[in-house]
Parts: sequence; C-alpha cells; structure tokens
Amino acid sequence: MEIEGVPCTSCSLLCDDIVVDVRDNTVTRVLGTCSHGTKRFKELVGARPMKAAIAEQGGLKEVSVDEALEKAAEILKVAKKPLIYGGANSTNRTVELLVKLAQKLRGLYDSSASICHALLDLDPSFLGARLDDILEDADFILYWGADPAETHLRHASRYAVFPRGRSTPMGRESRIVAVVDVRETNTMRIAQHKVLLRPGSDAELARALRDLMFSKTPTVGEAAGVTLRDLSSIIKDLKPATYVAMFIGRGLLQSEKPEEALSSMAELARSLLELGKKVSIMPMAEYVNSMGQALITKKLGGAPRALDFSALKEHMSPEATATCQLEREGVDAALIVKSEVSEELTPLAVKALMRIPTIVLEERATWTFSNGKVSVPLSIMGVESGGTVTRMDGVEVKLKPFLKPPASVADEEVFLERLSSSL
Amino acid sequence: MSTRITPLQVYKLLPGTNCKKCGTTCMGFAMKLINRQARIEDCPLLTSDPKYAGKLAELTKLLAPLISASETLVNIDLDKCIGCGNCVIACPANVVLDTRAGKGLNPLSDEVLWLVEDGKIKVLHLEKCRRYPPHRMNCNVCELVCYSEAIKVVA
Repeated sequence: MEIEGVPCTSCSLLCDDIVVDVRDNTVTRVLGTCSHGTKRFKELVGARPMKAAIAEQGGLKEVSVDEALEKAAEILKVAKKPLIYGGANSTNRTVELLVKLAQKLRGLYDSSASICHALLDLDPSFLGARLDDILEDADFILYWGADPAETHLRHASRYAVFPRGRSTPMGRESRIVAVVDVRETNTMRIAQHKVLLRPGSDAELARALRDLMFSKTPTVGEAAGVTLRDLSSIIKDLKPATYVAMFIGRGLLQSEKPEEALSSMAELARSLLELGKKVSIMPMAEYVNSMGQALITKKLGGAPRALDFSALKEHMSPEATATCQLEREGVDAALIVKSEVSEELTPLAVKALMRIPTIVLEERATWTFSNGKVSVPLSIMGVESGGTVTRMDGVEVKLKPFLKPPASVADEEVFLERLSSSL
Repeated sequence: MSTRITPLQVYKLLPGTNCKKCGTTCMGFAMKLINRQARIEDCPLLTSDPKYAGKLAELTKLLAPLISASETLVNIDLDKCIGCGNCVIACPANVVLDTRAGKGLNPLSDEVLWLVEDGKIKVLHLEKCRRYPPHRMNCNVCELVCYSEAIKVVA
C-alpha cells in the first residue's frame, strides 16, 4: 500500500512529500527521503528497544509498561526536586506535558541547548518567515554557522536554493548563496561565496558587512580573517538582492560570544531592512522539534528552557540548567525523554545523573536508555505514533503514522498523561 | 571540482603521427575515444609498437572511468550519495518532465530522468538526460550541485 504525503521526522525540515510503500506492517520502499530519513523510516524499527525494564540489584528486570509507569510514579512522588528533561525530539503535546509535569512536581524543566532558544529573543520583525516564502522569493541565501549538507540534507533542494519560485524562476541561477563557517563545509560546494572566518569573530564579520553596505571605507584590509576583496564581492551581490534569508546554525552557539554575534547579525539585518529589502532570520533547528520545544516552553514558562519551578515564582537562569543543577546535586530524580544525555550534558552532570534514580523514555537504543532505573521504550514518532510537531519556521505539522507499534512499547503522550494523573 | 578527461589529455598520449590508420587524425581519434566511438585497440601503432607501451598504459589508466560510465559519460557513486536531492531538483531535464521537481518536491512521475528512492538517486530514464548521445549537451549541473561528490562527469 502506497501512502503519500507522509511528513519525515528525521529533522526539523519535516519534509511532507514522502511516499511510503508498506506491506505487512513493514516499509518496503520510501520515495523522497534523504539518507537520514530513510534510516528512520526503514531501519529504526528493527533496531529499537522493545521491552520496558527496571534496574534491580545490579541487573535489569523486564516489566510491562504499566509496571514501569507505577515505578516511575513512585520515584517522582518521593523526589523533592525532580529534573524533567527533553522535548526537542517529541511532539508539541509532549513538551506541554513535560513542562506542566515539572510545574506540578515543583521541579526543574530543561532541554538541550538549541539555536532556536537564542533566536527567539531577536526582533520579531526578522522572525516569522515561512520556508515556503523563502522558496518563492528569497534571492540571497546566507547560511551562517550552518552546514545543511550534514544536518538538513534537503534544505537547499526542498526550499532554499534549487526550487523555482515566483521571484526566482531559474532556481539556483536566480539566487546567490553565501556560506559562512570556520571550516570548509560540503554546503560550500553549492555557494557562490564561501566565507571562512576566524573562529569567534562572527560579530566582527557582521559589523564589517554592515559597514560595507553603507559604503563606509574600511580601515583594514580584512575583517574576521576574510579579505576585503571577498567581502566586497559579497556586498556586490547583496546590494541588488530583494529578499535576504539568513539561516543561523548551531555553529554560532559554539562561538565565544554568541549573544554579541547575534546582536551584530540583527544589526546587519536591520540595515538591510532600512535599505528596503525583505529580511528573515531562521534557526537551523537541530532536533526534529527544537522549535516546538522552544516556542511551547516559552509560552508556558516565560523562557524557552531551564525553568525552575521549585521556587515560588519560576524563573529562567543559567543556574537552572540541567547541567548546573546536576553538577550541584540540586535535583534528586530525573525523567528523561528522548535525549541522549551523554551527548548533551557535561561528563560531570552525567555522573551525577547516574547517582540519582532516572526514568528514561526512548524510541532508540541509546546509552541513556540502557542506564535508566526505569526504561520505557516508545513507539517511533511519525512512523508508529502521531501528534503535531513544529517545523524550523514555526509551522505546525501533523504527523501521519503508517505502521502499527508493537504492544510492548508506549505512546509518549499517553504514557506522560497517565503518569501525570497518577501523581 | 570537475576532473573531466579532456581531448588534449588523450591526444598527448597518442603517437601524434596522424597516420590515419584509425580513419582520422590523432586529435580526431582522441575525440572519438572520449565519446566512446572508438577503442584504444583501433590505433595499431599504439598497440603494436613497443616504444608506445608507456603511453598505452597511461592512456588505459586515464580512460578507465569511461568504461564504467553510463552513455551520458557520468559516473554515480551510490555509496557516496546522501539522497539530498540537489541533482533531482536542479536538473533542467527533470523539471520539464515533472513540474513537482521545480517546486522542490521529489518527482512522482515514472517518466522522469531520476528521483530519490530509499535515500539514494535512482535513474529511471537515462535517455532523457541532456548529455545522452547523439545530441550530447555539455551539461554538468548535477555534478556542480552534488554535496558529496557522488556524481562525476568523466568526459
């Protein structure tokens, strides 16, 4: 049976033109997915955990989902300040449930750091563009600290560079692509401007571009390690552009002063606006629902991450991040949803996490899952379970599951709702 | 970056005597070799005279990618392909065959040149490529837009 229009849940692009061929509850062929999406649709089902388990006396005891739920509730009930962590790989409803659970338990809610969090604080006039608008009209595409050739494989072909749009009838020939990064990336292969900047000098580069846009005479022969000749060449293409779409990647978070870099980029964007151009700034959301996680958490708790509900009035502060609280032994239990903590937290925080009881909900066989006190396997989002997730541009996408999940795995939304009502 | 085999590269490895035993001049023969209209063995001097043994070995090595290439003289390394679809969407021939491609969508028509299936490029109708003989156009858009260097125009 061929199912058309299935959204792919391997990254935050949520490509919705996928065709899946299903026979006997098995995917036989997928049309349109990149290699990442194909792995998710075809291989994950066979490689994921199948049984819930509870760690007991140095061993693992297989249990039913109901027994795992009971044990999880027991752990959270006695905890004074539990950590509720995750959401970037879950549905919007799950994010809501996680934040509300933290609120109910007067605990801490956090999720992995994302470029989406940083960009939500920008001037709203730069945000709000849709990928579909960019497809139609953007004639200058700027990737900054982003390498879609590694992370969002169809970003250029599905939306930003190659499609023929209303104002870009020739596709790639009607657009200018510039890639800014600290190292040579595969995305640079499709760019007219390959900008290799000195690490940590993002703000300097953005300022130099802004100055050159206003024809200010530069005092030095280079800026941020980029020659004046290269900068002038970018400006020559930037001046006639009508719609500049900036895509900011995680690379910016790794620069020394991301706030300063972002504010300089916002200044550059503002000056482009003043010159009568349309400008958009969009994060290259790292996980499938990083944008949904950021937007919903901000709406519910006032900040996109690190919410401490243990105080009378919740607040966001660097001290309220999972890493910080774990390192200070500020939390005494943890519920981790679809997050590989060994990659997202510091080694010290992971060590501290291993000393407290952890409940892990996961669809993949991860290190975190195999080290949980209570481990609950989940149905695969977008493959076996539905819901709504948010694309990197803020558009909500309804998932279209096409396989029946095994009886021994749980649906994340249902499990969390039951857990919440049992507390 | 393109690493195409050029007629001049081939010409330099031919005897350069213009004996016409192959039916044309050495430059003409170089062109024919690249277009796969002639084989190295069609040059009697190169294959029989021991003084050309070095050039023969070098020419055989140079033309090796041509043997595995399709009629369009393009090699696709599926192990390197990441299924980004840049080629499928940028390809001028494909857009005409299925307008979905023009809007960034994976083509659904069975009549297209190529599409993405199971995370890799799949060629359906090679004869629709602008490089297909006899009216071979010098198009290399797919090679230029490939992230992973999976597509190589060999000549």
